[in-house]
Amino acid sequence: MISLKALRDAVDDGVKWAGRQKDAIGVEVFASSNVLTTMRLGLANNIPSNALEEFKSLEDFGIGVRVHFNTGRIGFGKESSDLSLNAVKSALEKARKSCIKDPFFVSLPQPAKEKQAIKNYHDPAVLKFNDVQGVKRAYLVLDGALSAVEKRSSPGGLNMTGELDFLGEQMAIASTTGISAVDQSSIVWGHLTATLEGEKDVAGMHFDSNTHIKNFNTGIGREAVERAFASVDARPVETGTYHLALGHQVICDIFSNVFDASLQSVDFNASFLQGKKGQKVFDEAITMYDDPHLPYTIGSKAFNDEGQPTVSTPLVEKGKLVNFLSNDYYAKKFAREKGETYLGRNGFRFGGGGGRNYSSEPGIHSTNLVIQKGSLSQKELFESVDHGLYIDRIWYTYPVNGSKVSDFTCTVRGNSYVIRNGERAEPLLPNSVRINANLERMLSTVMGIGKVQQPIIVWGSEGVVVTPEIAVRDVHVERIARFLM
Amino acid sequence: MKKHVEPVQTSLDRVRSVQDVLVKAVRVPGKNTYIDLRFDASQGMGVGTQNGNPLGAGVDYDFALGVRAFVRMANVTGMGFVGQSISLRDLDRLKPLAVKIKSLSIRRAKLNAVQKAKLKKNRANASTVQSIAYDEMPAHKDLVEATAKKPFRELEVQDFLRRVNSLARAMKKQQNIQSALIQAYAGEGAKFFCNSNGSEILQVRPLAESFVYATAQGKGPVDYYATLGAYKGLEAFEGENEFGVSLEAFGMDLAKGTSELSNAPVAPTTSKPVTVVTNPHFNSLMVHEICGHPSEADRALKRETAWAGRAWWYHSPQENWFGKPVASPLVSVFSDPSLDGYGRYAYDDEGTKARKVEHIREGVLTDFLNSVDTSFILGAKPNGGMRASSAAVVPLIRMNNTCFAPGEWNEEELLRDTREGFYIAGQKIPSIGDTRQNFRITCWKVYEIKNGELGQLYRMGGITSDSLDYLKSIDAVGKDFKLYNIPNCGKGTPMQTMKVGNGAPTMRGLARVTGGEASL
Repeated sequence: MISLKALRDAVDDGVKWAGRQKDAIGVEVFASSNVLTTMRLGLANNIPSNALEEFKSLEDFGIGVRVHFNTGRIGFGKESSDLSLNAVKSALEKARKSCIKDPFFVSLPQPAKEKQAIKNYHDPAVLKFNDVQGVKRAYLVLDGALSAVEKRSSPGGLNMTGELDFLGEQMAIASTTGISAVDQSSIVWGHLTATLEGEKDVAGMHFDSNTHIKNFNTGIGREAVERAFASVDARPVETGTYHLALGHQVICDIFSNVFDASLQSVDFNASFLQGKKGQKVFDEAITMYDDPHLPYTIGSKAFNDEGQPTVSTPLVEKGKLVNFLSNDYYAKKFAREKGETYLGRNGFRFGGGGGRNYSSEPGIHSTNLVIQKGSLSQKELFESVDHGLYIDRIWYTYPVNGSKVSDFTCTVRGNSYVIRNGERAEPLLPNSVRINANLERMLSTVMGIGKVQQPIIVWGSEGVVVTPEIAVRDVHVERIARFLM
Repeated sequence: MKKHVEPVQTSLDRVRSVQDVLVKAVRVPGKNTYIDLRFDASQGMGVGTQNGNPLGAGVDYDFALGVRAFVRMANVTGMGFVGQSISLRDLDRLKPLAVKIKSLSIRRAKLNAVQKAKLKKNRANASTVQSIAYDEMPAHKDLVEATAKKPFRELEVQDFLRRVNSLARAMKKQQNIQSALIQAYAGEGAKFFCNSNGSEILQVRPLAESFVYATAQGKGPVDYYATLGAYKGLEAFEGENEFGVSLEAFGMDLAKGTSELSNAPVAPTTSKPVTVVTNPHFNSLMVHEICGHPSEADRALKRETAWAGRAWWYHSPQENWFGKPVASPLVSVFSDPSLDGYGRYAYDDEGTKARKVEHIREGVLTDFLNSVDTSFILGAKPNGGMRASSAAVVPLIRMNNTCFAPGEWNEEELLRDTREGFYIAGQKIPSIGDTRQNFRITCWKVYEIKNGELGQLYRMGGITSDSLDYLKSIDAVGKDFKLYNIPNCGKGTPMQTMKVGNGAPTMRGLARVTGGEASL
């Protein structure tokens, strides 16, 4: 991985040179370096398979240059895999050729008054990833899972799939407005799904995440298998309205795919939260905020990708929407056009699959989207539901009626149970029900909130949601075919 | 004084300048080792606008390199891969970089194989861990080139931006339209594949594409987006695309339709299946989700269980629906990489010559899209289903141009023949069960059908059903086959967004109609 010093030198030298360009009012040079090592696991006992199916890495580094020209125009250019001064020159020339007259652009970001809140929060072992140690961890997950299987009766059709991801991220930024920052972060993320196809196709899933390898739980495979076996004798439920206790993954999946508090989406009239600032959107039991400073939590960042120290941003307080997330551009646009004030500290350049991406201008992203925990143990949460369902893994959750309303639909994939007389009863058959609901309506009748929070990331998404389990009233659940044969 | 003009280097030029170096890098991989290498070069221009105000513009190039290694050891095969982005200046010193990446990927493959052999030896449930003979694959040498009638270089980026600005401004002026967003790209890409078996395949093509999005508020809220595109030059924006209209006509139709919808009531939710006539654009998403994905062999073989899901019609080599009816006899489904859609290619990213595959023939399940690895397991020949979104990431089995085949009905007669039901038009958002056994897919517009004619328009509608029930309920298939492009099919870790083609005619079947979940 490219050294942080190389990134810092590149942006410092770049700004020094670019700042002397006569046609530039302001210049910002951003450099980043990311290495993602992924180990994808796949093992079936009734079909030929590959165990560690993919042992792979994706590396990128480069420079992105934003220029405010003296014509009032703004431009962006980038160069990949090159941190030299020539790369800065080339990127600036691209910015010059394709600059635009954006009537809403005010200025490049300025330094902020806050101090850096977290330091040395990354794991150097992720940034200098060791293939030998990594491959051993991957097989440890599989071996743990198979060891758990061997303690039980032999399943007719076992399949296990999952992954371990190790992402090292580094960035440096400097600008003629006085911005100067470097940041290093690391993510370790893994999950395994164990399916017993010979046992009514029941499934168990488990995951773990951390910023540091040493804290990562390689027992996720064993736990996934144990959860699968705990689901044997699962049964379906009929179509109807149920009280639901929603598990950590479920809340994360729904919020990642439906809840959009970005000021850019508001500006485009494409969020169901538009026009609702100051209004009650959820039950008063719900409080939410973006917290970039949580220790050992994979969404944490010391600086945003505009070079300002990150800050915590309240979003929902006692059910009332109080804020939107913004980057510097939209905060200034809304201040000038509408007289509204936003912090503008969520300008990140997250790329597909993770990492801080030099090749794009800052968008708006959450760091750790936190739902405040409550006081209930899981037992007490189930007691609050009394009769209903515990749903702990959902699938393909999408806002099927568009982004202007919070309707969503999904199916239930596993790790789920019937709740009867306030206690966990028989397992719910995976893939046997579909949930059709509306997020605002669902969270307007909260029955209880758990006291244990977990950070989770959704496949294909950059956002981390840190959430407790939440019980809600009267959600429509529909029986569907669940056959695999 | 004459202005100095730099010679224009096409993506094809750039690949050719490094081709020999890359071929040398994969030769002599070592004992029991197979190597393949992919290199991408692309260049083009992109613009974005919101309501006629520019959001951004750029003219740029990108390069990527990836090497995949398979090492056979003690009856197992280990895989290793290294991928990375490449700079322009790297092109002059690519050999040491390619050799370094190759060595790293071989090392990974060996580390993988050693651990794999231990697992296979120690755990009874790991006895299925396999060995794959990639070195037996035939070699191909070919150049496949598609050219643009109007190359993107003929357009200045500022003119491109003015064009989309003007369209977005016009869209915004439509009644009830709150915002109009357009992103457009025109460019070209070349990709080179070579392997230790001796393959050298170079494929080149242009691309022009535009994403158009509108939000509206009338009596209720609505938003809609769609993509127009083709593997063509700028002529794609003048009507040589799947919709057969210019970018301007496409954008205005989307804005007017979305405006009209904002005053329509929310679609009703029916308690039981009703007759639904679904148009080709909607059906192209339907075939993508309920037939295309479960026909990808990696899903069927349970390798995507934790991410993209499985396939309900394949349990194991012994228990599956091959040769059995999975749909009405009127339904046939195929994937054809020779059709003129986003799934068009001659060779896949494993170097296999791609060919048409029939998944369902007259209602009976017949075949899957596969890779070299999965073809061995299924006892089939590789049919060229492996593609990657970039050379820096590994190829996966992806549908190409996957379609419902046309039938015999004239679509107007089909509608007239329907006494009552709903007409489902335009694709929106899908949600599908793990094994693709159940779906809820929403559409752009829903119309009530009464006595063979379209009546009330509804917004926020869609249909839901178990896939088998729906496919078996099809009682009419139109002649009006159309192939559309889907630019953003997601699969893999890290997520790879793939361009695919999906086609269909008008069809009639039974499903429940869905509406909104809240009072709006």
